[in-house]
Amino acid sequence: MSKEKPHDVIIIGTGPAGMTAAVYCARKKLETLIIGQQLGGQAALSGAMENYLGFHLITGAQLIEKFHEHLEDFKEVTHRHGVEVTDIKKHKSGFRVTTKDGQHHFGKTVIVASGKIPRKLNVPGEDKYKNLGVTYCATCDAPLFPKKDVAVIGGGNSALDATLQLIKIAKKIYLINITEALGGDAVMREKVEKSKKVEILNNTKTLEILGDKFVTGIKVETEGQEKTLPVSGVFIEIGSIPSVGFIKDLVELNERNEIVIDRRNMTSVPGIFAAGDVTDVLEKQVIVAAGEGAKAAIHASEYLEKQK
Amino acid sequence: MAKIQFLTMVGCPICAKVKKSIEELKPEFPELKLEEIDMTTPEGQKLVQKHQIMASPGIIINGEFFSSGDVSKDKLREKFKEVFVQ
Repeated sequence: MSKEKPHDVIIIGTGPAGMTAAVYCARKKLETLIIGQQLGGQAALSGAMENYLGFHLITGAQLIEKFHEHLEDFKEVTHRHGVEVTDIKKHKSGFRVTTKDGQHHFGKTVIVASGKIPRKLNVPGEDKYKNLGVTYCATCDAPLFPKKDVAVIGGGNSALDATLQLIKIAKKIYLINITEALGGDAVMREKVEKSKKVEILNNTKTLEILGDKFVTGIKVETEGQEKTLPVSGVFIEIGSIPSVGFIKDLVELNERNEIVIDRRNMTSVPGIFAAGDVTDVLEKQVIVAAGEGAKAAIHASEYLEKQK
Repeated sequence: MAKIQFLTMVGCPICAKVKKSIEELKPEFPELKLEEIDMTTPEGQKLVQKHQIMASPGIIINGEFFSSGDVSKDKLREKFKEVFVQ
C-alpha cells in the first residue's frame, strides 16, 4: 500500500464542528484532511432552527449546505465523505487513522468531531425492520407515510420535532414516552399536545416492533398493561450517544462516554483534539459546536507550531 | 443503457450521502446517468407505492427495486458492475 505524506491535521467528522475546524485550518495554511460518514452529522437532521445567528429561520439541511459551500471555497482541504473511521493509533508521524475500507491516513494532529449517533431502542424487531418501517430520520422518511398510522418513540425535542413533521403527513401519530410527562421545548410541546392527530402515551415502554415484510405494529406496556398498536412506521427519537467507537481505548472518556477535553480542546492524548457534541462540553448546540471546532483548530495549529 | 431512478427528498442527509457516493463512482462507470425524482411529487409517490419504498433514498434500476435507505459505495459499485457489464 502506498503511504501518503502525513497531513498536518486530520479532522474526523463533517458536522458543524468538523467543517468549522476545517475552514480555520485551511486559513492557517495547514495541510488538512476531513473524513466523515454523513455530511452535516446530526445537525443535518434538524428541522427549523431559529437560534443560529444571521439566519432568522433555517433548516438544519440548509445551514449545512451553506457550511459546505463555504468549506468548498478552500480547495486545499482534502475531503473523504461517506467514509467511516474505524481506528486511531499513535504512530511515529503522529497518528494513524484507519477507515473501514482499509485505507490508512497519517496526521501530525487529529481533531475528533464525530458527534453523536442515534441511540437504539434495543427491542426485538428494531434491526429486522430498519428501512422497512423503522427509521431514525423523520426529515428523510416522514413523507413516506402519507395518511398512515405511525408511532414516534421518545419524549424530548427530537421526538417532538419528528411528531410535528408527521402531523402534516400521517393520519395518526402515537407518541410513546417512557416518562410521566413530555420534555423538550414548551413551544413544540404545546403544538404537539394541541394536535388532534396525536395520541400521547406517557409512562409507556416499547416492548417489540412487529411486522411481516414491513412493520405492522408495536407492542407497548403502560403501567403493567400490554397492548399492540397497529402502525406502519416507527420513528425512533430517543436521543443519541457519542460516536467514540474508534477512539474509546485511546483517550479519556467521562461517564457518558464523551471525550474529556481541556480549555484548549486537547484530549488526554497530546496532539488529539476534540470538538462538538462528542466532547464533554455541556451545551449540545449547533452554534456551540461550530465555535468549539474553531477553538480546536486554533489550538491544533498552536500545537503544531510548538512541535517545530 | 441502464436506467437508474434516484428517489430523493429535499433536506434528506442520507440521500445526499448516497448521491455523493454515486457521483464518486461516475468515473468508473461513464455510462451512469441518474434520473432524480422528488419523492413528494405525484410521480415520486407513485414509484414509492409501486416499489414499497419505506426509507429514503430509493434506488430503482431498470424498473426494479434495488435499495432503500443508506447503501454503501461498495454495494453500489457491485451492482453497477453487474448493470454496466461491457
